[in-house]
Amino acid sequence: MSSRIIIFSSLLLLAFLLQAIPVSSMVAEFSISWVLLITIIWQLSIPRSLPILLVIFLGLLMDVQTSSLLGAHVASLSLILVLISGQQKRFRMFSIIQQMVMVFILVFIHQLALLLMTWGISDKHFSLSLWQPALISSLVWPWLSVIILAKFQRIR
Amino acid sequence: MQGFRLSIIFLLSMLLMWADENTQLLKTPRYYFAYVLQPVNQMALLPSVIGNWFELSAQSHDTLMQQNSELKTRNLVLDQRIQRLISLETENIELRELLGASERIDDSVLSTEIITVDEDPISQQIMINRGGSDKVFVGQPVLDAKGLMGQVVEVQPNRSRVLLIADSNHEIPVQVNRNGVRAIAVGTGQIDQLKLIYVPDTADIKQGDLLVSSGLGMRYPAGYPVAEVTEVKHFAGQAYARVSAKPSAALGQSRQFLLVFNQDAAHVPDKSLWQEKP
Repeated sequence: MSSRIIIFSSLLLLAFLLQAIPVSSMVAEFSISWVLLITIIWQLSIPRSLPILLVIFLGLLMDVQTSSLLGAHVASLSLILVLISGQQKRFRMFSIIQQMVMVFILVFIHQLALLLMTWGISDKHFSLSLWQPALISSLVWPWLSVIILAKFQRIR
Repeated sequence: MQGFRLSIIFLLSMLLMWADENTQLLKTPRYYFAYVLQPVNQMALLPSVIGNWFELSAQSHDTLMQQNSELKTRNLVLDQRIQRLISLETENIELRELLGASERIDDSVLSTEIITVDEDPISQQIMINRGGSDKVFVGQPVLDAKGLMGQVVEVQPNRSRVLLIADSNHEIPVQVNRNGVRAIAVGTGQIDQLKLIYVPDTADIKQGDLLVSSGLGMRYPAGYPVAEVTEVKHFAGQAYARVSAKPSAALGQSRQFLLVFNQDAAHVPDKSLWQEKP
């Protein structure tokens, strides 16, 4: 059990590193939150093992990294985790297409939550460009889940 | 059970956000928290550093020679312009003395380089590689070789965040270089477009006009190029014209910038010159 936690924690760190890599503004529009995807996978594959302190720590780091309000990423991450907690078995029953749709919706909610939480402060324009990261995430999902989720399910 | 704990965290983080927005308490922790991020960011920069190194070392001798001679010629031209500038500056100071206006001091600058572009598709912000340890301050103007880029909005120990003039949250007071008509240039969120607001329908402003910073906002130094007018539209019955402009600075391409250190960014002439006597 603890070895999985170590593996997942290092995956999370790797994801965070991946997000910190500078990209050109063209690519940036389509860049996705790897940390979010890994946390979703963690929560789905070994439920109730996700250290909440780690979520808080990572969320705060992402807030400082992206200069958003302290707590914005913590809130949006925990919102997604609340949404999928208790849904692990149902999620596993889904076909891969259904899973991709679910991931699309989850990432979209995450983006929307982040936008809404800074609504009054930044008065950013609401634009439909929110769907791009969600789309890319859902396209990446099958590969990630095959590599990571399937592996851990076999160990169980 | 976990869902419950997560909900508590959700509420607590809401509280945290409120505190961050409405109090100054979290500013210092945030600054020091950025130290934790430093190794991560340095590692993340590795690919681009390696890429740049390869690009540099893969250039042929001929290309470098050619580049070198081009730079030398350019340098010569610039040197010649500076000579003229010096005499113009002294002349300007003398004229200002005659007018009784305060003397305009040349700004001191610090060069800096871009690190990342904001991944958020709706904001126009970049990170640069200078921070609190280089005495960068919030509100500091940033220029590139061709014009104003934007201003510093957040300072971390070794990097800072710059809000570009094209961001939809950004506004800068400008004036037409040709005749001094004043307006406010607002970002549209698109990197290559600004719009001017509160331009009277009858104002003398044409396509191709250069807009320079007026320095009236007390934030940007006066006289730097900001944008070039690309389109002026008049509407019958409307009080204001719709004016679009294209930023002079290469917002999407520049990699090298200058941070301007100038305490009284706006040059405001002596009060007796513009205030009516009672």
